[in-house]
Amino acid sequence: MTPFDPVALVAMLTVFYPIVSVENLQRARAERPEYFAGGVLFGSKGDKLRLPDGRVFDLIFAAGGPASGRRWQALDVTDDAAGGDDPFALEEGPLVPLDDSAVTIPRSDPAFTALVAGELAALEHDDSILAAAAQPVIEFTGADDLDHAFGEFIDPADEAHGGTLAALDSDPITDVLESSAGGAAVVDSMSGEYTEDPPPDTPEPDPGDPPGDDGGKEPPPPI
Amino acid sequence: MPDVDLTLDLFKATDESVAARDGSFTKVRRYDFYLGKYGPFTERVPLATFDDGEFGRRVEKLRQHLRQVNL
Repeated sequence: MTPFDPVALVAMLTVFYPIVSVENLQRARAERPEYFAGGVLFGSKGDKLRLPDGRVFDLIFAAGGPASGRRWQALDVTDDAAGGDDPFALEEGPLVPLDDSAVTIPRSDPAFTALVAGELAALEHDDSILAAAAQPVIEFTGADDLDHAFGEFIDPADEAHGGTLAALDSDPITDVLESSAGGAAVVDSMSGEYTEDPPPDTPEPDPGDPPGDDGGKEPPPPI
Repeated sequence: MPDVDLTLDLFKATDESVAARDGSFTKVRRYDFYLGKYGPFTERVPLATFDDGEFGRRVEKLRQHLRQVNL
């Protein structure tokens, strides 16, 4: 990329673009891009140049004023917050810097210590109240009730469950299989060749005489 | 006060085509040069109406400005 020389840029603008305006600045940027070293024009008036290395130059003096008062320049405003004219400036947030004059510095007044001690002294007799409130917690007798309910309900249920398991253990599945072992012989005896005589055929119904040439007979009356 | 050194140092001169927005191309001769310690400058002279003196005239205008700046 072409190095940036602000003197060369101003010389080029002054010589070849005598009318100082943002439009001519943009035209120069398009026609002679090397002088701008890859920078981009920006700003509310379009008279600022931001280089790829972050430097910012103001290229028109009094850009907002009358045309007769303008002139080309290359003023480095990189560190000038107002001249930077950041196009991505953040909005004002809810936090603001602290005003040192408004900050109250804590005093080392001994009266404050005495004031706190007096307030604590007033609370000194409340220890007995707290102890009395804690006593029911210490003397809680719910554990006995819980043990009694456990013995009354949970233990019998546990014993019944154990009995059910013992009954299942005493009836092993092998006994069930042995008792059904004879069924296989019955099945085998029924799977042989069928040797019985077949039943007699059912006789065909008599269809009657066919109709003759005399026009046939009247059909039988309906039943 | 001695005159400032504005010696022409032409370090590159090439022919190239410049694209316009309408898609057309213009053939130009590109000059890259220094004037003393200033630059680099880059000037393009159209080849269609090429004038041998055009580049020299541009250089002289730039020199005049730089002399005024250094007064």
